[in-house]
Amino acid sequence: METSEQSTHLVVVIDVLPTTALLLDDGTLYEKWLNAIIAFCNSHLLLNANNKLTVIATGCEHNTIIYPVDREENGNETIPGQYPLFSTVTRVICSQIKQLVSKARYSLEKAERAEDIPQSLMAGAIGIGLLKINRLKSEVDSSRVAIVTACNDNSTLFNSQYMNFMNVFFTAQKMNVVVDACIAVSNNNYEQDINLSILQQGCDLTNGLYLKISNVSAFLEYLLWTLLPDAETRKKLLLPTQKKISYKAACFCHRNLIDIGYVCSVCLSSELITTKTQ
Amino acid sequence: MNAKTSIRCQNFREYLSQMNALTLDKLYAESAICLAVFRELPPLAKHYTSRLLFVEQPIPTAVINSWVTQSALKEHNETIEMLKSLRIWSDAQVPGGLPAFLVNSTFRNSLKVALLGGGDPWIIKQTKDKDKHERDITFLDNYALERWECILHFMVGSQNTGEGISADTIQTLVKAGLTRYETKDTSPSLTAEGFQFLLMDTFSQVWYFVIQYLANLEAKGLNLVECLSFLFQLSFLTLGKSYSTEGMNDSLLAFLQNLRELGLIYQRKRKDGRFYPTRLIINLTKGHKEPLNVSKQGYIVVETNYRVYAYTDSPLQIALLALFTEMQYRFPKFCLGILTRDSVRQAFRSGITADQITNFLKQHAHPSMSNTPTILPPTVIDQIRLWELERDRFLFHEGILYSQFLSQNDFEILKTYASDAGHLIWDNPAKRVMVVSPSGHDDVRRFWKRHKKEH
Repeated sequence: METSEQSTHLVVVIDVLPTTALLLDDGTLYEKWLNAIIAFCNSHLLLNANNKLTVIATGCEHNTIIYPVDREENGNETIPGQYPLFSTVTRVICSQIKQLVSKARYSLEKAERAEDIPQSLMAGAIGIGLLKINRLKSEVDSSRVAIVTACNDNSTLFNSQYMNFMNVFFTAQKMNVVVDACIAVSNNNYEQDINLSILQQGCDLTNGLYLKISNVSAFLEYLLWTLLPDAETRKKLLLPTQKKISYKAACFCHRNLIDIGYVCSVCLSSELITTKTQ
Repeated sequence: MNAKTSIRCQNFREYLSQMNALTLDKLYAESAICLAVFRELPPLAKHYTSRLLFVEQPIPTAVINSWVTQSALKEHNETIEMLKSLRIWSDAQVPGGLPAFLVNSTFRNSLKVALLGGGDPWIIKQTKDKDKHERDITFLDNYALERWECILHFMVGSQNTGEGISADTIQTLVKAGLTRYETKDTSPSLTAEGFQFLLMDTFSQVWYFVIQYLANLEAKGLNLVECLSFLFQLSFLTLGKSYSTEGMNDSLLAFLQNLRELGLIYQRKRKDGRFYPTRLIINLTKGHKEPLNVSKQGYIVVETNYRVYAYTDSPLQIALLALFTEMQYRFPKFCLGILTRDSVRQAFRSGITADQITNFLKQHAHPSMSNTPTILPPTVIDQIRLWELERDRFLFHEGILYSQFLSQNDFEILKTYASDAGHLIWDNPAKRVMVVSPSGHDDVRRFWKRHKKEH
């Protein structure tokens, strides 16, 4: 049963926007959420010595690659007993996120005055991830993107980036990159049918998994069970499937998701039908 | 007669599954070892282990069986068997009496520590201050290769025999059956297994040697668990960084010196207090091997007319080529051999396989050979393989020959009896000879005696 070991490049896109409902509900939850993500990243590196990891943080102003960092910090201290590489990963991710969040908070205060709903530049972050994947293509057998975000009870989030999203998803599809998404929603909103339909569509297009969870303390379990296996192993495992996905497109005029619209025969852009009630 | 005496490089998993339960449990208490074991598992087993990493109670078998799709059921069962043979999983029962599996708690805890931290610190620490004589990766690669080749040179008995090779290493080579002493005072000579060892790639050689070395460890008064844990901690270090020897006890320091001799680590001076791991040891736990990144090019050109040109003057490399080619000419820096049926069969006879030969040629192929997709000419590869198959044409059985029958009738009767009883191996009616299996010999002879008496 000697199966040749497949090395994978995993790009984790973390949404660090500090307005997420999760963070506002309970501060400790956010920490748990981040710890779970770091443990997940380490588990990925644990699987195979040749596995590569890239972590991208996406905020409302810019996207940053937080791991790997170009220069190694001098901090030699490792967490006792832990594999030194994992300690490095943990340290780097933690310190970088801390910086980013405090920066984001500052800009958020400014933004509040402007009365603009802040949202992370998720599509751009996935784009950066794809570039990174393309660069390391020759060193690994397969590549994957995992998006982790905490949802703002707002299913219209990201609609304004609709075109950018579709572009990166189709690129990912063409590059044979699986895009997974794991959305944490706060407990009281779970029953409502909140889904980020754009991410759902993207996962479906690239044969990835879309997960919605409310129990953050079990977040790591979800990640390890479903998002850790690579595409090859997933064929052998029974994993949750998506029930129904809405393939609504956004109109070009208002960036709203629409059921019926006009489609331009030349550029295929869709326009909202304005029903005039008189 | 047909038994091939080829040596095979065991992987770490097979090595572990031979150990007894007590030793395994002791090994699993070390997080570095658990990390190495985990890396060695096949993909499905890795996922099963990480799924249950945080689950403390037994999991019903039925639940685990529902994890996979129907098509992967065979692999699923094999995975479970393997996890059980490594004692990572054991049979248990859930309170209801249903069969279940329980993850070995020692293993689980150690792996958790490796992943999340929280246990005893590792023995090896990075050096705090900067090294005055800092070494880069190229230097380490060259050093490692040089040391390792020193051992190979010693094995073939070429140049400066015995220099820099300790009695310990020689002893390991002899115990592993790679070399043997013909007489007491001469230097050891290579065995058939040794030749096969030389044809393996460097990574497999290191593994094979390390496993043999570990087997003799306890006789030297070193603790297996301690050394193995240390070895794997070494293999998880970062290439090109220096580490401190502080806090190691005497037996570990002795072990370190042994590794230094093999080129697995680099230490400028014995008392230096710092050392660098080399790629040889870093690769120990990597699934696929990164070759030593040295500016060393392949030197072998194989042509479709079975000529092998080798641009080398190293006695080791020439000796290796001479194992399976007929040497024709030798010039300074260059020699020429021909792959002939006889020379290749000669190699087969000492247990070398066709794959080993072609792999060796590929591994050391001259850069200009890499233009073709197969690197070597396909005809040559095929022919070597055919020569190997040729040797498998015969099936050897022991047997007893019955001959000099006086009449055809006697022969027929005995032949019919033997073939009915299933003892007949071969017969030739024209010459009235037949061969009977040794187990059936008594029976057939008794029948023949009775038959003679009756007539």
